[in-house]
This record gives sequence, C-alpha cells and structure tokens, in this order.
Amino acid sequence: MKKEKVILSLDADEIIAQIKEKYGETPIFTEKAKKLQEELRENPKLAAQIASLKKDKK
Amino acid sequence: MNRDKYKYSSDNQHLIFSFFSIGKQGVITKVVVYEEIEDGMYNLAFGDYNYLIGEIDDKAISNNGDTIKVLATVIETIKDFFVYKPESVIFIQGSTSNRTKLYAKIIRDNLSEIETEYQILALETESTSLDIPDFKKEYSKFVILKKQNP
Repeated sequence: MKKEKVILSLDADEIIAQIKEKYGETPIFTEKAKKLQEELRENPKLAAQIASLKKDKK
Repeated sequence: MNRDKYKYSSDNQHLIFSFFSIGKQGVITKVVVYEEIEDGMYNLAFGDYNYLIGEIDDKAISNNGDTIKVLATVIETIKDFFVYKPESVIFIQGSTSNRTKLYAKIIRDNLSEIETEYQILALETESTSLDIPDFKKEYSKFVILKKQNP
C-alpha cells in the first residue's frame, strides 16, 4: 500500500524528467541496444540495407 | 488494434514515454524509450521504472494482468514516434526470446492493419539481411518503417 502511494505521488512527466536526468536526453541504456550497435558495425550489409530503405522513403 | 490503452506522457523529442499499468499487482510505472543506435535508427526499449533506484528494468515480469492493454499502449507510442520521426527505423526485439515471440505474434495477428501504414521486415538469428516476415520462422528482431504514402 505504501509503495502504491509513492508511485501515485509521481506523475508520468516527473518520471520522464527523472529518466532524462539519469540517462540523458537521448538515452541508450539497454544491453540489446548496445549489442545492436555492435551488430550494425560488424554487419555492414545489414546497415546498408537499412540505409537503403530509409533513402527510398525520402 | 482498436484496443483499450493507457494514457501516456512523452518528452518533447518523443523519445521517452511513460504510463501507469493498473492491475492485480497494483500500479506499475511503464517506460518506453526509443534509443538512437545509429543516425535515424532506434531500438524500442520497454520496461518497468523502478522509482526507488531511478532505473528502467527491461527484463521485469510484471504479471499485472493487463498485457494486451500495455502492449496496445506501446503500439500507440510507436505511432506517436513516427508522427515526429517519419523517416526513422525502429528495431523491435524482446529482452528474452519469449518476449520476441510475443511481439512476433502481435505483429502477425495485426499484420494486415499494420501494413496499411507501416512496413515490417524481420531478421533471423545469424542472418545478415532483413526479409519480409514468414511467421513460420523464428526471428531475432523486427524492423518497422513508416510507409511514405499509405
């Protein structure tokens, strides 16, 4: 019950502000994001395919 | 995908979203973060916010009995994200293989609706290129793009 009261005392905007304070304006904090960055660097074919898809949209 | 959703807040860059899941375990703060891994390429991170330590746990299992509503809200954040960053690409992968399978099921079940506005591609483990998803296969991640002229 106490936990619930504390959660409800923070609104969603305050939580976003806390996240920005901790992780920065453009956060990267998950293991999978860091691994994905590595995968894209190690796999230029995939990175090029995605870049091509993005280019096709322009 | 006209399901019940939670109201959410976002930052002004539309990279960080937060909402409250309300269910049998009580109120759980959920956070969706679009992590820019390369220029215009984002990873969708989703988890519970632990306000005591100020950290996001993307492996948490809430068991709050509202999975459909929570995931419908996450899908809304994807739509919101693409309104502001229409030329971006989002990678979707679970923090566990079971979660990735759950995401695959949601994509498969809603594919015809998703494909009116978005393009979905999939990557098999150890594969070096994206393919149109064949849901008989198991994928390690999905990529979603907004179509230019839906």
